[in-house]
Amino acid sequence: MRSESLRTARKLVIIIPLAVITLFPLYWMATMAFKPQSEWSPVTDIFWFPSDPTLDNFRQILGLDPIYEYLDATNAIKNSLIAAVGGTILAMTVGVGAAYGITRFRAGGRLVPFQILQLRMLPPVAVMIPILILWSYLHLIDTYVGLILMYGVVTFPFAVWLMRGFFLDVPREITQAAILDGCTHWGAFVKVVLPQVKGGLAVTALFVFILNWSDFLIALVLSRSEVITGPVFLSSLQFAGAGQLFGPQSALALILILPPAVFGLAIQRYLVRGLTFGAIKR
Amino acid sequence: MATIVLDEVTKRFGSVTAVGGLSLDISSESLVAFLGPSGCGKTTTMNLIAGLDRPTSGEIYFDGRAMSGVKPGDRDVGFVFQNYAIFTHMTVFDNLAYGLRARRTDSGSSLDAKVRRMAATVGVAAHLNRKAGRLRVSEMQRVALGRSMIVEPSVFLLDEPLAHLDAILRVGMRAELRRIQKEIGQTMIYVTHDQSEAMSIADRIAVLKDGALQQYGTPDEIYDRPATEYVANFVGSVLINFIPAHYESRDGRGCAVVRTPNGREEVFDASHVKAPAQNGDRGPALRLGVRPELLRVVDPTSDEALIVGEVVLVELLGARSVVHVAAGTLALRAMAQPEEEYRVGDRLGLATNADDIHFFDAGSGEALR
Repeated sequence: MRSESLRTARKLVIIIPLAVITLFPLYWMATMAFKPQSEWSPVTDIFWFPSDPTLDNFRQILGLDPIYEYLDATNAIKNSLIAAVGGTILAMTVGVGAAYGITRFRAGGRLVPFQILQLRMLPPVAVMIPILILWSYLHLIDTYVGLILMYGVVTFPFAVWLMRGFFLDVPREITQAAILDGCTHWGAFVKVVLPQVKGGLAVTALFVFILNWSDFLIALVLSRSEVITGPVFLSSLQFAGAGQLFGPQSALALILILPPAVFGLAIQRYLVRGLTFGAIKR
Repeated sequence: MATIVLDEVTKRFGSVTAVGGLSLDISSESLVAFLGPSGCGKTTTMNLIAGLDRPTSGEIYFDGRAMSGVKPGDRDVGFVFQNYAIFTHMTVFDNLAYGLRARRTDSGSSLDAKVRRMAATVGVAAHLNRKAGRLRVSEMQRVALGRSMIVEPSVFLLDEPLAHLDAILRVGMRAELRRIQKEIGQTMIYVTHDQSEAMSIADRIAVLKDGALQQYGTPDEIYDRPATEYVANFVGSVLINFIPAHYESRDGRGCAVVRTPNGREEVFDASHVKAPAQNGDRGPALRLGVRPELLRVVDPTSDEALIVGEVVLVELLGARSVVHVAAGTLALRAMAQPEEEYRVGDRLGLATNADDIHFFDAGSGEALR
């Protein structure tokens, strides 16, 4: 009993400081979002908690304050949603199909699956300059299609490798049984295999979506003025006179956290198993 | 309802030959067991018959009709897999109804009635509305059986369907399968690595090894006249005894000469079998196979005693027991009657009738006849 509580105490000694360190930026951002300018401005004292809480930062970011029209981020949020959702759909469509082909029909032999992974050997930014040139030839700069394509390419290896793990868990016999009942391969895939991996699909889609949603560099390089995404817009919230606009930045950051958080909560029951990346054998 | 003929069917995966030139004739409405260890090509053969795989060469005929080019769904084949291929995201009812719905043969009340009847047959009637994934393993396997049986396929393939069930349930299901097969009159192929299962259920048994047919015959033929040492070894509840011998011609007659560990020379008439092939410079060698149940325990001093040895282990099998006897380098097994009691260390003699001896070529392992 004593050793038990001792062990708990020892764990807490490690866990609490780690939690404080990890969660502090989140805390700072969340409180900052509700502070008036006098409290977030760097020249004033440090306020650990907003002494005069306000929603002004949110009103400015959401374009509800005509004076601060240039802080209106609604368009950027919309752009982010379209690009990230589009990129996720692209990566999932191609990735799920590829993963099934690789696991069930050994499509591409040994080499192709690893070559797909090789796409991830360089950070995407390493190829951004050639991509920039290619995209401007194709007139894809500053377009949704341009961003969606790039997001799809960058995240589809994750979709393939995560889904591969989930498909490996589905016994081959299940497909064969459906085929003997008169299904085509395609019918068996849609009616029998996909329902069995729906948890995996949700987890993979969330993972891919978060990657796309939180991208900064690709959007920064591939957009000019029209298709500005949330993170890019966030970084632009600074002015020569006022410096960093920490208040509105925090408000926007808080809003940007919402979609993945809501998505994550919705599929929470799949997450624990999903985050082992389908490695558990039943 | 369908005669199945396999004509020189071969299946290769890369450089590995899973099935090599297999020819079989499976008559309509019979139950044939494919017997062999794992990796002998049983499952591959089943997949070829079902059409889930295509043979590299050879042809499969159902009722004289070539099956290459016929889709699995059109072959009227039911398949029960070892890993209970049920759709865990559906209810038991939907699982059972799946084949009927896919074929659009029944709907509404007739579908409902068929599903309920099948659920009762396989004993899952109480779980019809439960998700199949929440059942126990034995129940899942029964759902899998029902799922396949319900469409009354003319060919029914079962790949170790009872492997995951416990012993009591297995015996019950075995009898049940046999009854249903007779009732519907299906052609059934039953894959198993359990010889007792094959012996008890099948009309004919095909013993496979490394993708090649070792013997195809009724359980009696397989047991009484094994075509190879391999078959003799695989079939029988207690391992068959092999005794090395060499072949000699004495007075113009072929003889099998066994030098017993106690220095005696025992000569068996082998004139009725063909001579084994030359094997090295020690002359043609053979092995005598004697079933433990045909090896009698006798007084070690009697003339009958072919081999004299010492009891090293007594295994109780209920009514009878297996006596393990060591004689020099030979380890032999004999069945003892319930009234006979032996203890480790007892000396005893073993005897057999000349008729009960199988002669095998020591080189090729083939039976000499």
